[in-house]
Amino acid sequence: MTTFINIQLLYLIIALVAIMAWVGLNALVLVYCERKFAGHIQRRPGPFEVGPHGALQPLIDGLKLMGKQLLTPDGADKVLFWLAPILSFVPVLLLFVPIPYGPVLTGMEMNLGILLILAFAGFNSLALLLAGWASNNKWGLLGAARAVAQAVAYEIPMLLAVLGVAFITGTLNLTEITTMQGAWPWQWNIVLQPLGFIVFLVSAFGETNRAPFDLPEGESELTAGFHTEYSSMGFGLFFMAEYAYMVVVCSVCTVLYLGGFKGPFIDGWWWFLAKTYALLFLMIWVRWTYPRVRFDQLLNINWKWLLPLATFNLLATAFFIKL
Amino acid sequence: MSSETVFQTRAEDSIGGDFYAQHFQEGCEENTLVLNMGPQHPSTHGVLRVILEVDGEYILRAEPVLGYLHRMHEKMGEVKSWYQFIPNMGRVDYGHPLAWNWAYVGAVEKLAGIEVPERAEFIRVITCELNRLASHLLWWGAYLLDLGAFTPILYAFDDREAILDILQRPTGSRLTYSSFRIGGVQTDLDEKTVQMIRDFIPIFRERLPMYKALVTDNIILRKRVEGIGEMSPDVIDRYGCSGPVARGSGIEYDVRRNEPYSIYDRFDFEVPTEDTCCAAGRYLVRMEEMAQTLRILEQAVDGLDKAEGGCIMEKAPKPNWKAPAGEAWFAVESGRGKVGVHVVSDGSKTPYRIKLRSPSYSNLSSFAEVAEGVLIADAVSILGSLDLIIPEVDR
Amino acid sequence: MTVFEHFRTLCIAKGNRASSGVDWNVFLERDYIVDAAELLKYSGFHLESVHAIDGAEGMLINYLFDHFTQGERICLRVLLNHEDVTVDSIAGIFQGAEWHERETYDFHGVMFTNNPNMVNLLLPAESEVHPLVKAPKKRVALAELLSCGEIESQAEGFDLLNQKTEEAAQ
Repeated sequence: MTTFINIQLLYLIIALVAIMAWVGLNALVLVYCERKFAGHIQRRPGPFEVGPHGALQPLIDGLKLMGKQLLTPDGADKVLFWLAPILSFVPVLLLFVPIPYGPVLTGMEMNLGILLILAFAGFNSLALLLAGWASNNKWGLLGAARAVAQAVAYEIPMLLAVLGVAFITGTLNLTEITTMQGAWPWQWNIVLQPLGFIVFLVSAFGETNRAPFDLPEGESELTAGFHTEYSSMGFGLFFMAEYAYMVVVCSVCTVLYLGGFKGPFIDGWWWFLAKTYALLFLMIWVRWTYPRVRFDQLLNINWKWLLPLATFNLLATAFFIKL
Repeated sequence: MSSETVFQTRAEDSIGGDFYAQHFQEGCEENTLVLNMGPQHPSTHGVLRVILEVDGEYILRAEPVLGYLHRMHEKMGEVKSWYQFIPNMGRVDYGHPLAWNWAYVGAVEKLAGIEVPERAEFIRVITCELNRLASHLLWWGAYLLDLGAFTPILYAFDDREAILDILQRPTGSRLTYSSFRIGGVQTDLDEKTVQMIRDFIPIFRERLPMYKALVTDNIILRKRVEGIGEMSPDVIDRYGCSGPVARGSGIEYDVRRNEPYSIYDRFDFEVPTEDTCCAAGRYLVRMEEMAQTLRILEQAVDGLDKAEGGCIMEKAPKPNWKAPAGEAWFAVESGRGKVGVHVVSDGSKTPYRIKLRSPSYSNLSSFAEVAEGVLIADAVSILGSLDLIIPEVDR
Repeated sequence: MTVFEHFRTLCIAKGNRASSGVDWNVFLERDYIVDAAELLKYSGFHLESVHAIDGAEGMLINYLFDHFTQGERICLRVLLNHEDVTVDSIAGIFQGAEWHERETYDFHGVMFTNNPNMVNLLLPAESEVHPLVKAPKKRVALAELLSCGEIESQAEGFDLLNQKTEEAAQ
């Protein structure tokens, strides 16, 4: 019995270490992809000098961020101020645990995997609120207020979309959801839940504060929103957390709607990565193309469009299952 | 005479901030937030400071505070000679400096009764219209950057590079041009420059539909500009707004058409006007103006060969020239509106008084009234639609 | 000129647009400026600029108005004594004048009573320097500086522009 528990524990520890490495690696790779892709959309080459085709740029940027001075603004609440980035970053590691990267590549298979992810993703809004409040900066406060309203609002359609998939598959276990889908695109859940996919994707943009919904850090209006006063690694942690959340949300979308690690010919983690990165690509593409929505328009989209659509999706799914 | 300041700073300031912040906060309501937008802010187009009284995200009161870029050009005008003041005109508005060049030089020429040779007029029109195009592109890119779209500014700057390369040849500068002289222009346009212009026009004409499809027709952008910043014609009259701000409210007034100067009455072009009175109207007016500018450029380049005279008049005023006594007012249409220069001379080496009337100044003075009751994001959109260049506001 | 036909003015001169850019120069007494502004607002004019010229006879305040459709530019001119550089504000009628008047106060020290916000606009808030006020020795007679054009009507005792014509006649 003890050996059994030890193996489980060992497996989990290895998984967590691997996740930390994966998050770090992703931060580097995604930053590079974003800057290169942004550059090419804007008719310029993007990072080019540091390393071959700028490949070492994110690494050097990370080193630069670590080398900067850690400033605490005058009058800021020191404890909350430095707690906020940590609170933003650390829960992300937990979110990767239930996600099945391959047939056996899962941190820990859980019956309530999706629930865990949705629950711990809520920490982000708390972290943003703390960041804005503790900064002792009016612009930061506005950014924090916006962030909380936005995060809370967009969780609901996301939940409803996930429920739609749960209805069809009858489980919240991510590995089972994956195995229940087939290898070919017409066998994926997106065929059964197209509306749910769109709702989930739009909510994903809203939850991760990505353009066109990036108001909490609305650069041109609020200077830098909730992270105005952060420098060096404080900012670095927020930054990495944002990219990590993006990866989580795209991974979950892949698992729920696009068949996860299943693909034509041979299943495996390569399909999973390909689909996840395709969605990440889409997120980056949208960011550099569209202007920002205004805050009341953002909430309007949520309450007047996404929520009714998600509810309709759920009811329709329930109806068709009964048939 | 002492100013006998009507407002006195409080003895014990329970409110922080400088004089203007305290003065503003005296009129504040309860439970509102007082925010300083600027002078360091990504979207106030320069060093403009706007003090906002905000309730949640709604603006109750706004007061622009100027002077962060005030260099007292009007005093410099009284100290420098007539010739020396021309580079000052290049620095007043970095978006459309050739319009200011023209306003000053035109006023002096009016005062002294100097006639400019025809070729110089054509060169002035060509360079000024190219500058207008560059100014509108800069406005467009910066406006969209304020609204959160990061890409159009780079597209706009890509096109601006072509224009700046063309304008560098006759003027020697890329941004703050001072190539106009009293009696003409500094350098003639050589063959290569004219050919570059001829090549540029069709290339840019092809770009405009792409910008329309990518940006102007985008639903997110339309929701950010339609219905924002209503400025009725009454507001325009009371604040003296001009340019695309007035034309976006249905007032068909363009200095080039209503008070034609130089050879503008020879060109066939339209004055775009929109009736919507909101930021979308001003946006569409400027986009259409870019197309009309291309028309003027084509006609001007065609007419350049047959123009008589040189690039500057015979016996042009030397640097130590003195203007005759008198006064003159000259108005020019810049990318932002009606630029006016009032020159008063007493016949000596330096001007007696130079008054620079800047369009952004009048346009911005309407902001306090227009921004009441709007969201902060809308205030940013309104400021962008007014097309402000702060050095022009502060002079 | 029809707008000021029944208005009490000190002098109306028809300017030459080609040489001075202004169609009408109207000299007013200080007390009548607000009424004149109201009259122009009613006639559809908009405010272009308010600025001052420091001359030997006094401080001349210029109010430039233009019309969007009629294409007529009118310059209202008010001469103030150097000892008493005060005039009523027209900011109640043309709100854009608020900033122009603040700037004129900044540069020339002219006090506009009833301006809603009489604080320095461009210069630092507590500065008391008025840079464009000339030293008394350097001031030049306004008659030499102005190009008002042909005088159409003139009130008794108004001889600001006559000095120039006398000198020219000599």
